[in-house]
Order: sequence, then structure tokens, then C-alpha cells
Amino acid sequence: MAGGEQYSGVHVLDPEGVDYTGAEVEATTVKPDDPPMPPVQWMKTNLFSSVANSILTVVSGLFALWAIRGILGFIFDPERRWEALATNMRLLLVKSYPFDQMIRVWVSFAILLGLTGLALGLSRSGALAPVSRIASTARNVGLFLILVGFLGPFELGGRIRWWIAGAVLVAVWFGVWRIMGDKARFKMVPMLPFTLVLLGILVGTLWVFPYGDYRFVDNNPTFEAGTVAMTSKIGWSSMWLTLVGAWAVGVAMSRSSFGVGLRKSMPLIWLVAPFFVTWVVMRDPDLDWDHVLSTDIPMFLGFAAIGGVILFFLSKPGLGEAGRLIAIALVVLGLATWVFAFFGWAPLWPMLQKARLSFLLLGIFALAAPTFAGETAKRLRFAGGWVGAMALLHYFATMINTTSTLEIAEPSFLGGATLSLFVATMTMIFSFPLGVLLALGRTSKLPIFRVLCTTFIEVVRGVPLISILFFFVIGFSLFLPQGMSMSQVAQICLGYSLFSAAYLAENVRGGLQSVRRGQFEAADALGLTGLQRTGLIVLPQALRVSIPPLVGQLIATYKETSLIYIVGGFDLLTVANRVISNQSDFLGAKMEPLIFVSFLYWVVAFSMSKYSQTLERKLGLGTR
Amino acid sequence: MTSTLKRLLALLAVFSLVIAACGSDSGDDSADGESTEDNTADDSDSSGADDSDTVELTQGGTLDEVLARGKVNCGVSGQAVAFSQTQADGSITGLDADFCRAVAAAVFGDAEAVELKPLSATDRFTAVQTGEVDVLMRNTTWTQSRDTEVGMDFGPTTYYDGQQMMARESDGFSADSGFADLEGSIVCTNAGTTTEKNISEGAAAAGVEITLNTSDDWDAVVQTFIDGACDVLTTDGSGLVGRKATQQPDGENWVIFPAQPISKEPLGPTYGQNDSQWADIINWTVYATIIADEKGVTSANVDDMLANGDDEVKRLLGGADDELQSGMGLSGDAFYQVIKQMGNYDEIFARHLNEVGIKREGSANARWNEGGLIYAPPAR
Amino acid sequence: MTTGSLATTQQQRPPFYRDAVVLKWAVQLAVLAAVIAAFWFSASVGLQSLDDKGIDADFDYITESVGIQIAEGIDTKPNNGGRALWVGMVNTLRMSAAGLILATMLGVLIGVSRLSSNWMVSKLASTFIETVRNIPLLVQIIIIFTVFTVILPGFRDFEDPFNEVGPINGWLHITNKGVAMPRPHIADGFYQWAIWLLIGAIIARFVYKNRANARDEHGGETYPGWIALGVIAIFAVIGWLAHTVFSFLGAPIQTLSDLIGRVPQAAVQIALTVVAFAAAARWIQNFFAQRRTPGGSARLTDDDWFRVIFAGLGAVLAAGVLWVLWPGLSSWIVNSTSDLFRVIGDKFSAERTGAPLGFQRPDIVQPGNFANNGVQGLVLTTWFTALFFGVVMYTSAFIAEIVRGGILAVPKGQSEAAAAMGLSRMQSLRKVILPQALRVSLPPLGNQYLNLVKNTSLGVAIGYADLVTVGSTIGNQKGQFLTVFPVIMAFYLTCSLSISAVVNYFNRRLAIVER
Repeated sequence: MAGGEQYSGVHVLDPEGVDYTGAEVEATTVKPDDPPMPPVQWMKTNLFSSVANSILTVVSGLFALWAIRGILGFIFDPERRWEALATNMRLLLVKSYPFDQMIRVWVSFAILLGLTGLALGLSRSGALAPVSRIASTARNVGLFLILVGFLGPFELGGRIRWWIAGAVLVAVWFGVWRIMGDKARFKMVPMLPFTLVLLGILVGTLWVFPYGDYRFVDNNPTFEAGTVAMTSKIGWSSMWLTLVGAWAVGVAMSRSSFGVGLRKSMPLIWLVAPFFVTWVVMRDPDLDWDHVLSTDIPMFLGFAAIGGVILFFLSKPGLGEAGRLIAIALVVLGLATWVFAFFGWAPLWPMLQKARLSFLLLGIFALAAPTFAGETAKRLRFAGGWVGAMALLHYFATMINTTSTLEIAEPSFLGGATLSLFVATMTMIFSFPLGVLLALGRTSKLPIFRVLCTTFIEVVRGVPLISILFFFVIGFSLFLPQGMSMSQVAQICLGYSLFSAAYLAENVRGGLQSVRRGQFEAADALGLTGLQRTGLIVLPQALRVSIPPLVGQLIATYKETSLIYIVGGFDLLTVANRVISNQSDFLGAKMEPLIFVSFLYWVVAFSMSKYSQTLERKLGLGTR
Repeated sequence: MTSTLKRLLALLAVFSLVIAACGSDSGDDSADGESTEDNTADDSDSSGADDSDTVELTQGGTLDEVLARGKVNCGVSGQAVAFSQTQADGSITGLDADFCRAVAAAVFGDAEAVELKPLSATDRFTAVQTGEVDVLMRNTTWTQSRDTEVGMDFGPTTYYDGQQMMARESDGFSADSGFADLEGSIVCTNAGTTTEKNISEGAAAAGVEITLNTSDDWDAVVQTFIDGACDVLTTDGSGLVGRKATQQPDGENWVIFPAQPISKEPLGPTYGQNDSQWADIINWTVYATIIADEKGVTSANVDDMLANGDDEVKRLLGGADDELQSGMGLSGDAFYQVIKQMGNYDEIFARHLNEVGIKREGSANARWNEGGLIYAPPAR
Repeated sequence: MTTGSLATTQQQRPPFYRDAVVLKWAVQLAVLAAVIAAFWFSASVGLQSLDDKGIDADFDYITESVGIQIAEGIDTKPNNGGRALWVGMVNTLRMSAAGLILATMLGVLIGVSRLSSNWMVSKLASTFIETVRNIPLLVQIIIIFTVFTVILPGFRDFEDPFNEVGPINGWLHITNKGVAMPRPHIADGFYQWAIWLLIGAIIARFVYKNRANARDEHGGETYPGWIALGVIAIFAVIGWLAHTVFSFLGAPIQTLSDLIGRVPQAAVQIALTVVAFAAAARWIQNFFAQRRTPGGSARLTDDDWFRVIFAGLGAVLAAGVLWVLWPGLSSWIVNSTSDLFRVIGDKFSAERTGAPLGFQRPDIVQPGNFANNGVQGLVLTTWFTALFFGVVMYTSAFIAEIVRGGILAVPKGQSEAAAAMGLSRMQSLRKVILPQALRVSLPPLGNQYLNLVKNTSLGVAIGYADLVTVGSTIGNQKGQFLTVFPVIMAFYLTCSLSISAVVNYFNRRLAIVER
């Protein structure tokens, strides 16, 4: 399936059923741009079409110029202490992560970027845009730079530099218009490589532009003119190379069956990645190999093998009552281990937490076994899923429970931007299943579930997030039973997850209500079990409809992590607003870090919302 | 039936997974032992702060744990200028931080065997109560209610502070001004502390009307004072002096008044109650620095003083015998290490507070024989 | 489920461990019991920990003095914790009400601008929306507050503050100590005047209907709205001159208040219990009636029985609360009603002869060393203004998007038809598009209103004395936060539920009946 000659509107499917409706088909279904108007006519129609319009244009134009001038004046004011920001950049991003282990932070970032690149490459995603549109964007940016050159408080040399930069971009546009022929001008170019090249240029400026080397040596901030420190240069360049390399590998693999399989397991990889990055890479557990070989691995193998055999047996079709009874017995066993441990009743039965978790999971899988009844291959896959789940569980449990080699002087090794990102990610991961369950409970036919879920959702939604956070950070530890403790970060995550789950439940409920009755009835007619009906028929349709508000909720969650500042956690905003301005060298420097923090938040939130719009378009929603 | 049961169990499973993950997620988990990891069994995280009602004189609870751990957990602020501020490379410097290191030097002989944990105002006390930190050096005022009602005890005062106010000389203020001059003004302070109560009680007693604005964010408050949205600032004197030294614009003169502070704010270390041995260790570490200052023992001449100092100095530094130190469970050279690595009280004070303009002379923090309150019991 | 209202056949009921009904209820009751048990357990653990740590968590602070001074509000030196919390609540309500109105207006303006054909205006609007939406509100509030204190001039910058503080001295003072503007306020004769306005409104409504019918029947413009407004205006003027006429109402209302005050508590309790049981009985009766069919009563499912039992339990619970748990509620009702009428009666007394409305202009005073805004006029402190700006800007960006979405959801044919009928763009917007857009955008709009009210709680970050700030100050002073939370949460919950109820009501009225 090559090139751009496709029938528009047809879904292009690979023999394996992989949907390639993407770049190629979009090429022919993208609306061609309106032919560009000559500038005078454009100004006439858009700006000065009537007297009222002209007045509006003049007034808003003056306002815009005044605002831009004010902002530029503020940013380039010589009284600004941007060195407060530059010296503390590491503090802002990772707080007190030990300096000699910073490579771990880079590696984590590289892993995440690599996964991003891989996912982008494998799905061959990416919009197309005609060259002329890129050129006109360049012209607009160029004109803006020239405007900045006029309005900013620079001396003549600086102004001329801005004008030259702007002129270069305008010249690019000019060149595209005059030199390229019509066909070349309207040729569709994929945007993703273009963006990567832009990022590369941005990283390249680190090597060339004299930002200056800001360090903190011997309790004193220092400054060396010239380009940035070598560690920054190498670090960011390797990040970019990882991203581009992963993308290239993904594109190369996308046609092969391995690539297709990888693409299908991407969601699972993404789910595991944050845990891996936080608990294994950044924390650097100090494995005690004796213990691992003697206890952990045999325990894992035992659970995996015995559990797998039991599940294989239980998913035998036609097992009937006995199977259900065994499943219930296993569930009771799993719950019993928890209850015994909670009340400390069974000194005879001391058990590691992961063992208890494994028992509970075994019970749940056993209950779900009839859903996977079928021929041997299916049952083997089911048992294989169990082994995979055990592997993940035991691996992470072992990693978490070993001490870390980091000499951490903190409540947690996370701080600054990493704490905000961590809380946001954990909230997203945990609130999603919770929200779906709450939504299912709220629309359930069983009255008590409905009342319970509705009460929870309405109470949590009616209360401001800050009060919930206060409760969890200050009062929650009083309610934990003796001996149980929860780190502050975990408490914060729990509070956020409960809050976010209530909002997600409402979004998913809207989606659930949009699924027609006929679907339920058809699933029943086909003989699907309740779990199968919910999981295979209802939820996919419901979630597809509720994806835009879901993504909106994710963006809101990401922004709400700034509230950690109020409850005293050391997140990005706390470092910017409190810690930096309390350093004796930079006393009172608040605006500079604050502006940077807003910029960081803005960039991520803006990209997410743009992605959500693309997603909406792709899913074909939003058209009535 | 099955669908609802499954749904129910799935719900329970997710909840339990979440709670389990969070329960085991805490970095405080001790290393995985082969026997019970039962969470309800031994409360390995608590220090001497006993959670039950019984009042015991526990001996050696905290010290043993600290020795087993290999470092001291010390709670600090991380955001307090000159007392514990976080530098750009993540290290924490300041008077409180140095006293934390002094404790580590006393217990382990190594001033770096300490973990400085930044704590916010909301969780500083719970951290001591639950044993998350062994000692809290977070410029906390020693008050009766805190001593008796919150399960903590206080060590000797490392800094005698007092609440004062700051206004501009051009507005008609001088060091002799008092409450009467506050009539009709907007006073700003930081929230959640004793300063709020003190200023409103003082104003009410003097019969003046003030508008009191509080905020969590002390830098924002100072900024409102600089810009004129607030007329008068009030907080502990140390905070005011520091800001005046670094943020006073040219051409203005900020005066701190009244010369006699309106309240007493003795700042010192705090630890869980009912652990006499640990209390002795903290107290005598502080006293050791004070005695060294009184006797003129500095980090430069400590070796010389060990050999040739007077008897009290020799006893303190563990020269003649280590009776004083071993009675507390410390090694003989505990206080020698403290002085050698961190310096005496004067050195610690000067290192951090002089650069923000706070001096010992003439204040309550001068030596007892020079008109101040820094006084230690004798080492014998 | 088996049917059979006339069946006499022996039903084959499955064994109890497979009977759907039994299992259904067993599971639900088990879950309910587990949830209650979990709450009970954690509550007891909590109480035990509080005991151990020697922290007394009780609601005494509501009646005890807390010794704090609040920066702004109706009472800056509250006598007890309860009053302090009330001041905080009023501050929150003030901020929310003003914010809702302004945010809606601003949001609609920006949303419509975004769709304007004027490139400059629409670009400005979209830049504003995209910037404000993607930066967290807390960061924005902190930045705005910092900027305000720096940019706005201080009293110190003027040689003669009394005469120079601008921009309009004597009318509008904008400084970094706050914004002071004139304040029309309710004065003595207001309530009596209000009766005149009420009469005027009723008559105006008749006039309006009259004229509107006339317009519909005969065509032509009869200006029903303007004439109705004119009627109200006439009555307002009459009332202004003659409002003391109604002061005779004062005495009857006072006697009414005394009478109410004499009602014994038990009478109210009995009355409310009877009402509760009657309501439950009525509901159950309706429910059964619904289930009746021409062929006889339908067999009730177990869910139906659950509802019936629930209604009955509700009535019993209400009775329990009234008689056992909180008997003071009845006397509180009696006293509050009596107080309410007394206050109203006082407003109508013969001494109230002043003008209905007063007008205060802002002034500048210097009681001591500092020049400040005086108490005359409406003074909005810097904290209030910064939080207000932040919250309004943030919410209006979202409202703008909702409005835009609503307008875009109106079928294009509508605007084309309006243009074909000769309506100008403004007229078509006002009469055709916006009303239809409102229907689509009302639910998300209601959501944003809820968010605005909850976002005002962020004032705790800059020191605005809203409920959360006052609550946490009390918590700090008393050393325990646990009992302050329920009050804060109950207040916000009440606000949210009220706003949702109002929005739902309008939603139902506007909804198209679907097929």
C-alpha cells in the first residue's frame, strides 16, 4: 500500500487488520487551502470591512501592541534576575536528586522519549501539511520577530539581530512563493519529521548560542559566559537523538509483523513504563542477590506455575458449578490473607505482601476463568496472561522493597518537576479504572450500589480539591491502623486519584448512557457473560465517546498538581515560589521562576489539548 | 449473579491493590525480611514517641534506632533564610542545618551522617510524633502548649528571637515606636503562626485599630511591604533583619521596632517526649557548642585545647576520661568531633547569620557574661 | 423473574445459592455492611489516635473565642470560631457571586469575539483563551497578585494623597491598597420602597402580557418590554416619595414574630414528623398507583420493594433525627423564624423614614501615620481583586469555549435563514442563535459555575480571607484541623448542590423533548 494514490474515504486495512487510514488517505481528504489573497484585499476583508470593524481593529491593535511591549519590557528588563532561574534549573526540575547519579534522570527521560518516538513511528501517525502552509507559518513568525525587534527595549545592535532573524524567515516564505512552482508548493509534507528537525535546531542552539554557564560552586552561584555546560549539551543532544532514533526504528518496523505486534502491546508498555522508570531506574534498588535467588524467584515461579495450572484447569469449558465454587474458595482465601494480616491474627501465617496480592489476584483470575473458556490455545493464552501478571507484580514488588543506593535527603527522591509529573501520572493511571468502576456502579441496576456510588461522586465533586488534599495530608494518617504508614507522596496521590475518579466517572457515565439498548440486548442474545458484554461491547463504545472529555480531565489533572504547593509538598511551584526566593543570593526573586513555571505548564497542556483536538477529529466526533 | 459478583470483586480488588501499592510504596519500608513483613506487627518506624497511653521512661529507644540506621533524621524547613535554606545544588545550609550536623557528629563522629528532611509547617509536628524524624530543627518556638499538648519536648534554645515590627523611617517611625503608632495601618505577617495572635492581642490591648493581612508566602508579604500595599511588617526579628539587609531599596531606611520585642520566641530543637537518653544527647550537643564558645575553643584550636585546655574543656572534649559522654551512650570524642567539624556556637552563628546582618553583640544571643542569654550548665 | 399474577402453578425456584434475587440482595447488603464496617473501624482508629496523641478534636471552637483577626469581611474581630467561619463563608459567597456574573459576561464576550470576522479581534480572543486555559489557576493567581502589588501606585507615591489619588479622585481610587469605588447601599426606607416595587412589578407583568398579546394579534411594534419597564419606573418614583406609607406593616409583623416565638418545640416536632410520614405515605401511594394496570396490580420486583422500604425508612429516620438525635433543631427552627420576622418587622417600623437608597463615595483617611482607604464606599482589597481577576479570567476562558461550541452547534441554516429574513448580525445573534446555543451549552456552563465557586478556595495561597483560609487559621491556632474540615466541606457541598439544582431546573425547562 504505497504512496498517495488512495481512494478517499476508504479505510485501508492491512491483511492483519491493522488500520492504515492515516497519512496516505488524509492526503486526499484534507481540504485544500483557500487560495491566498493579496495582502491589501486580505486586510480589507478581515480588518477594515466596515467602520465599526475598523475601529475595533485599531483599538485591539493598539491594545495588542501595548501588551506585547509591556511583556517584552518586563522580560528584557536589566533588573530581572534570570540567573536566579538559570542557576536553579536543576533544583526546579529534580530538586535534590544526588548530583552524581543524575545519569539516572537522563536515562529515565531517554526511556520515555524513546517510547514516544517508537509509538509515533510505529503508528505512522502525523498529519500532512502543504509546503505553502509551512512557508506562511514561517512568514508569520518572521513578521512577529520583526515586530519584537521594534517593540522590545533593546539597543540598536540587539534590534538589528531580531530584524535579521525575522527577515530570514520572511525570505524563506518569499522564496517558496517565487521560486517553487505550483506543484511543488502544494506538495504535502509530513509534519512530524519537520517538528523533529525544529527540535533539533533548538537543541543545536545549545551548542552555538552563548546562553552562559550557570553553576553553584562552594555555596556561591557562578557564571561563565559562553555556551552552556557540557553536561547539558550532551544530555539534551542525546535526548533528541534518542527521540529521532526511536522514531526512525519505529517507522522501519511498522510494516513488519514484529512491529505490528509491538504496536498492539504499546498500551501495556506505556502502563508499565512510569513504574519502571520511577521505582527501578531513578530509585536504583540495591538488589540482594542472595535473597532474590533464594526467595523471590522461587516464590514467583511457584505462584506462576501452580496458578497457571489451576487457571488452565478452571477455564475448561463445561466445568460448571465446581469451577465457580473453586473460584469463590480462592477469592475467600485471598481475602482471608488480607483480613488476617489487617488484624494481626495469624502469626502462624506470616506472609509477604506480594504473596497476599498474588493470592487475591489468583482469586480474581479464577472468577474470570469461565470468560476465557474455549479451545486450548485460548486457555493457554489465559494462563500465559497470569504468568505475565505475576512476573510484573513480583518484579516490581521486589524492586520496591529493596533499599535504594541513593543517598536521599528528602521525604522522597522526587521533587520539583519530577514530583508534579509523578503525581499527575499516578493519578491518571489509578483514577481511570476507579472512575470506570464508579461509572458502572452509578448506572447499575442494583440500588445500593447506585446510591453508594452516586453519593461518593456527588460529595467528591461538590467539594474543592484543596480541602480533600488538606484532609489527606493532615488527617489521613490518623485513620490508618496501627503500624500502617503511608508516605506523603502516596497520600497526595490517593487524594488526587479519588477526586479525579469522581470526575472521570461522570464523563464515562455520559458515554455509557450513549450506548444504545440494542447493543446490550444483542450481547445477551449472543450469550456473552456480563463481564464479556461490559468489557467487549459496552465499554469500548462508551469510552470512545467519552475520550474528549477524558483527555480534558487529564489536562485538568496535570494542571491541578500545582495545588501540591498549598499542602506543603516540594513540587515545581513550591521550588519556584518559595525555595528560590529564600536563597540568600536570590532573595525575593519570584517572577522569573514563576514565568518559567507557567511556560512549562503551558507547553505541556497546550500540546495535550492540541493532541486531543486531533484525536477528536480522527475519531470523527464533534460533528453533529 | 456472576456479573455483579465479578464487578463487586473487581471493585474490591482495585481498591485493595491501590491500598496495597500505597502501603508498600512508602520509601520507609524496611528491607524485605524472610520472616514476617506483617504490617500490623512491630512498628519499626516509630521512635521513642510512644503512641500508647503508658508513660514510660524509655531508655535508648531513639539512639539505638539511629545507630542501627547509620544516620540521623533531622527535620528542617528548607525555606528559611539563614536557618535552613535549600541551595541551588540541593544542599541545605543554615544555623538549624548545622546543628543537625552537629548532632550527627556527636553520635557518629561524622557530620555528614545526617539526612536533612525539608518539612512544611503543616507536617512538622506530625513528623516528630510519628517518628519520621528524630529531631526537628525548624526554627520552632518553644511554648507551653507545644511542650505539653503535642507529644514533644524541647531542647535548649539555639536562638533567642522575638517578634518585632518593621516600618519606614519616612513614615514617622523609629526604634522607639510602639503599638500606638500603628493606628489605622495595614499590618502584614505570615499565616498560621503565633505572630498573628501576638499582634492582634497587642493592638487590642493598646486600643489601636489595625487591619491584619496574613499569607502563607512570606516573600509575597515582603514584596507587598516594599511596594507599599502593606504599611507595617511583623514577624520574628531574625526574619526582619535579614530582609532589611538584603532587600531594602536605596534611599529608604527601614526601622525595626520596638527595641524590646513584643513577644519571646525562643527557637530550638524539638524531639519526641519520654526519651531521656536522646534528649540528653541533643541537649548536650547544643550545650557543648555553647561551652566551647564560652571557653574560646574553636574548630581551629580544638586540638590544642584538647591537650592544653583547662579541666572543664578537657572533660568536654573527652581528653581525660569519657565519663560524661559514655553515660549518654556516646563515644568519648563525641563533642570533640562536634567542635572540630562544625565549630562552636559563635562560629556556627557567624557563618550563617552575619551575612544577613544579624549580630550577636547587644542581642539576647550574646554570651551570658556579655549581657546575653546564651548560658550552658557546666560540663562536670 | 417469574410472572404470573394469576398463576397457581408451583414455581420451580432455584436453590437459594443460585437464586438471582437472593444473591443480588445478599451481595448488596454484604457490600453495604462492609462499607459501614470500614467507616466504623477507621473512625474508631482515628478517635484512638487522637486520644493517644492528646489532641482533642471537638467542635468547641465554634463557640469559643479563637483570638484571630480576619483581614476583610463583615466582622474582622469575630468573637468565636463560628462567627469567624461565617465571615469566611460570606467572603466566599461575595467572591463567587460577583465572579459568576462577571465571568459569564466576559466569557460570552470573548466567545463571540472568537467567532468574529475581524481577524485582529478573533486572534486576540483566541490567544487569550489558549494562554489562560493552559496555565494552572494557582500560578496565575500568584503572578497576578505579584504584578498588582508592583504595578499599582501606592499612597506613598503621592504628595497629597487626599486630593491626588486617582484615576478619578473622590470617585474611583485604584492603588495597591485596593480599589475604592462609590457604593449605593440599602438604607432605612428600602424595604418599604421594595413593596412599591413589588406592586409595580406585578402590574408591569400584566401590562407586558397585554401588550405582547396585542403585538402578536395585530402586528406592529407595541414595545411591551419598554412599557413594562416604564411602569416599574413610575412605581419606583412614587414609592421613593411615599414609601413611608407601608410602615404600618411593622406592628403586625412584630406580633407575628412574637406569636411564632411562643410555639412550643414539641408542636414543631410533632408537625414535622407528621409531615415526614405523610410525605412518605403519599410517595408510596403514588408508587403503587404507578404500578397499577387495567389488568390488576403488577407484581412488584424486589427493587420496587427496596424503594418502598427506603421511603419508609426515610420517614423513620427523619422522626429519629427530630426526636432523638437533634431535638434542638425544632426549637432552632422556631427561634430562627421568629427572629427573621422580627428583623423584617423592624425594617418596617415607623422610625424608618429615611431614603430607600444611599450613596457613599470613597474617601481617604489618615488616622495615624498612614493614609488608607476609609470605610466609606466599596473598598476591594488587593487580595480580593487579585483573586477575583484570576478566577474570572480563568473561568471566562472556559466559558468562552463553551459559548463558542454552543454557537457552532446551532445549525448553519439558522443563521442563513435569519440573514434571509433581513435580521442584522446583532439581531440574529441575540434572537436566533444565542437562545439555541444556550440550550446546548447549559450543562457545561453549570459545570464551570461549580468550578468557579470551588476555585475561589485558592485564595488561601495569597491570603484572601475566604472560608478555607479562615478554617486553616482556626486549625493552626487551635492545633487541630480535623473538625474544621466537615464544616468547610458541608458549606461547599451545599453551594454546589444548590447551583446544580438551579442549573438542572433551567436545563429541564430548555430541553427539547426527545422522541
